[in-house]
Amino acid sequence: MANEASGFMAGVPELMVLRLLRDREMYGYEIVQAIAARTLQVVTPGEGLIYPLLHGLEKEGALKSRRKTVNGRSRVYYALTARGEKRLSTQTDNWTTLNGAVEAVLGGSAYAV
Amino acid sequence: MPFDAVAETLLKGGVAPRHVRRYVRELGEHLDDLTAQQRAAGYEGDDAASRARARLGDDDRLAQAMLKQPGMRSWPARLPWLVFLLLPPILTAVIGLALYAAAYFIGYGAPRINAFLPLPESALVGFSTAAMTGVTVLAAPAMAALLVLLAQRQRLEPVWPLLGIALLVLLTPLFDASHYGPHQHLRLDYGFIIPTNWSAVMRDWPVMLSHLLALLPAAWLIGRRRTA
Repeated sequence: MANEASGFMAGVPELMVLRLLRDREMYGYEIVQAIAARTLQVVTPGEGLIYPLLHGLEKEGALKSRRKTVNGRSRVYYALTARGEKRLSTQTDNWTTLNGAVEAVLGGSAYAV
Repeated sequence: MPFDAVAETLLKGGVAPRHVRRYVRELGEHLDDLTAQQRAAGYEGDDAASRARARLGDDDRLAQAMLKQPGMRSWPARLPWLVFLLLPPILTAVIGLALYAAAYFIGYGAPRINAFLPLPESALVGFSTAAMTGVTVLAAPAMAALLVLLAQRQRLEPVWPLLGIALLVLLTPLFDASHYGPHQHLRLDYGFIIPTNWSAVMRDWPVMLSHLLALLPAAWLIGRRRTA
């Protein structure tokens, strides 16, 4: 994902994946397309890198998966678990706090100039 | 295969084969979707395929991303001493003893089994004796073959399976039940038998054959290593 290795982007892909999967189960390609579309291409995932993230979240119990065939194509679909819901809630709070802090700094700098 | 290099890097990095298989399969499915997307966008043939592959990420990044994930490493990669040294003699003895006891009770219970099954009592006893000998001969070699298979699947250094087999041979389970009878006790010892005279060979040939057969997977592993 864009700037995925930087400190500020750490945790952002995970937050977006959890949020998307709160609405419905999705497969990897679908998740990547949804992130690119909803962020207006600002966040464009290095597409294959979504799977280690999904597998890691599943290992930690935040996601569950099942193989499903739709329109003749078999794919692994991921869905949020109860633990994933809690994790999403915590991470959303963290992000909102961080976002507010950055906004405050940016607003402050505008006044300073 | 398009992701063989990724799979090989992950296996050598200790990622469990089931995680590797699933990752590679999902990457393949994702690549199919991306290629279809590129074709829909007007790119054709190899052009569409190479654009799709580039969007997926290069092999090194794909492998590194998975290697960084905690909890994906296999037991043999994390705890080789447990998997290759400690567990094999114990599991071989436990599973072997269970099979040996089952074979023994077929012979011991032959008169009663004979009442239910239209099989001659002598055939049941003969099968029981042969099965007990078979367990003695094959328990350790089967475990040795399993250790080599496990190491090969995980791309592990051969030192672990070779040490494991050496220990398994030195601690070969020795099952014993000298006769069928009500006061018979099944015995289990561990040991390595070196024959000192002909009568010992005649008596202990199943155990000695077991030693030899258990060394075959080790020899195969060493030979394969040399030719690689």
